Amino acid sequence: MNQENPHGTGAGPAGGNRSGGPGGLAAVEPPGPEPARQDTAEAHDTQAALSGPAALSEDDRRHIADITRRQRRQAFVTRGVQLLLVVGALALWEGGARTGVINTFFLGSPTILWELLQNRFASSILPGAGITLGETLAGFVLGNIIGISVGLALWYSRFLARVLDPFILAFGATPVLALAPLIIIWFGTGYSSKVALATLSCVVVALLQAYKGATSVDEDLISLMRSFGATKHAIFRKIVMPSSYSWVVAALKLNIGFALIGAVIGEFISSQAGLGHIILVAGANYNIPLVLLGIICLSVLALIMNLAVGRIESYLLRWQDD
Amino acid sequence: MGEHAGQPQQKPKVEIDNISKDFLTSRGRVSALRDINLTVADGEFLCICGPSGSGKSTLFNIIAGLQPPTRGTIRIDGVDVTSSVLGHVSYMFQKDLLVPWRTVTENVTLGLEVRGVPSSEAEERARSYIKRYGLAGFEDTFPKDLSGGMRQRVALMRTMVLDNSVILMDEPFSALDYPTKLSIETEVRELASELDKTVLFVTHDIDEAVSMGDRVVVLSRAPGRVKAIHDVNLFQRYGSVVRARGAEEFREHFNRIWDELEVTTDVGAGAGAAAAAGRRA
Repeated sequence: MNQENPHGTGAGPAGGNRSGGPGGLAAVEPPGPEPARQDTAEAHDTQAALSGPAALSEDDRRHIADITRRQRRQAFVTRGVQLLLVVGALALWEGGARTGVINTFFLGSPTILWELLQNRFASSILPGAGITLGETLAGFVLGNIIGISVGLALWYSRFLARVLDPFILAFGATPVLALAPLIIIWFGTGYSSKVALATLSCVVVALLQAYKGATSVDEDLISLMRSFGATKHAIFRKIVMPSSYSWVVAALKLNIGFALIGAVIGEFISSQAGLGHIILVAGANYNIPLVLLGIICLSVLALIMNLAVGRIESYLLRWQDD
Repeated sequence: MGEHAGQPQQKPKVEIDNISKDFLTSRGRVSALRDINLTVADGEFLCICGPSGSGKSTLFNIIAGLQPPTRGTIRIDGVDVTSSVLGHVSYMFQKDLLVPWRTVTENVTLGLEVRGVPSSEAEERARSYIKRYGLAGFEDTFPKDLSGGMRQRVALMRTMVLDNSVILMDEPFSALDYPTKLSIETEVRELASELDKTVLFVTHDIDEAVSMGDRVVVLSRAPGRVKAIHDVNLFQRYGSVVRARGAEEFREHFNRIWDELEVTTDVGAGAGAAAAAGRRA
C-alpha cells in the first residue's frame, strides 16, 4: 500500500473519524496507548502496591456520591429533553395532520403510521427486517473475512501489496451503487445478490484496516520479538495479527453501516423481500405513509445493529485507552 | 582490564572483540563504532556511558544479533554468537514496548512463549515474578491502567524471566521520574545479582552509571571508541544507589566521567564553561 499517502487516512482519535481520502474511504484508527501516568508516590509504595488500593475515607465516599448524583441528574435531563423533542415532534405532526396543515398524502401522520405498523408488523415488516438483517450480517461477516485475509496476505508479501495497491484503490473508490445492476444480473434478484452487494460494500474498509493494522506495528516491538529469537511467523501470529484485528474491530460500526447500505441498495434495484423491498413497493404504489414507516423501521434496525456491534467492539477493545 | 583486586581470573562471560560498525549512507561510509574491545565478567554489572551518537544502541543491537558488525566478533561463554539471532541475550529497550492487548502476566510471558516454554510453566513463572517484585494484584491488568514505573517493571520482569544469563539494558529508566528511577535502580541491581545475571547497562545519566555499576565504560563521540573504563564498585560497597550517591568517591568518578564525556552545549559558552558548570563542587 502506498505508505506515504495512506488511502483515506485522516484518522483522528477514537470513534470512526470519517475523513475523506481521494477514494472517500476512512481509515479508522484505534486510539493508541496513553503516555504513562506520573507515579511520584509509587517510588515508596511497593508495599502499598502489594496490599492493593487504599480504603476510602468518609470524604472520598461523599465526594463520589456527589459526582454520581450530578451525573445521574445530567443523564435524566438529557433523556428528558430527548423525550420532549420526540413527543413534541409527534404532537406537531399529528396536530398538523388533523388540522389539515400537513398533507397526509405526502407526510402521513403518527396515527396513520401506527395503524400501518399494527396491520403489517407481523405479516411483512418483521419478516422484511429479518431478511435485510440477514443479508447485512452475511455480507458483513463475509466482507470482513475476505478483507482481513487479503489485508494480512499483503503484509506477508510487500511485493503483492505494491502490485495490488492501485487496483484496490480504484475498487474502493467505485460507489457500490454503480456495481449494483451488474451484481443483480450476475447473482439474480434473490438473497445472494444482496449479500454480494453487502460484502462488496465493506470488504475494502476491512482490507485497508487489516493492512494498516498489520503495518502500523511499532518497529521496536518487532525488534524486541526478534531479540527473543522469534521467527517471522511467530511475529505474525503474536503481534501482527492481533494488531490487525484491533484495527478491523475499530471500524466495525462503520462497516456494518456500509453493509446495510449495500443490502438496501440491492433491494431497491430489484428484490422480492426485505425492508428495502417494502419501501420500494410502497413507493411504486404511492403509499407514502408506508414508505415513511419503512424508513423508520430501517433506521431502528440500523440503530440496533450499531449498538450491538458497539458492544462487541467495546468488549474486544477493552484493553484500549479511552 | 579492571579485574577486581584479589579476585581470581574468571573465564569472561561476554567478549566483545574488535567490534566495528560502518553504515553506508548517501554521504558515504560513516563509522558508528570503531574497534570496541570489552570483556565482561560473569555476574558483573557494567554501565556504558557516552554522548549521543556514540553508537551505544548500535553496539547493543550487534551484541543481540539484530545487526551484523562490519568487523569483529561477539562471544558469550566462549561461543561465537556474532550475527546469530537465537535470543542469546535478553534485551530491554528504552521503551517498555508492552503489548497493549495483553495483560501484565501475558506480557511477561511473551518471550517465554516465543522460546517455546509450555504455557502453564510460563504463566506460573510469570506470576511468581509479578508477586515477588511489587505488582501483586495487577496480574490481569492491561498496560493502559499502569503507571510509567509499573510498565517498566513489567518490561523488566519480561526481561529477567527469560533464561538468558546476559542482559542488555538500553537506557530503560530514562523516561521515569526521579524517585521512581532511584527505587527501580536498586531493585534492578538486587534482582540481577539474585538471578545471577550479567548486565550491560547503557545510560546517559552519569549518576545512574556511577551509583549502579561495578565498572563504567565511557565511549567517545562518533565514531564510538572505548575512551575510558572506571572501576567503581560503589553499589557493591554501599548496597543502595542512594547511599552510593552520597559516597566521597562518587563525586570523583562523576567529575572524571563528566570531563571525559566532554558535554558541550551548542549555544555560546563553549566547552570549557559548560564543562566547569557541570562539575560537582
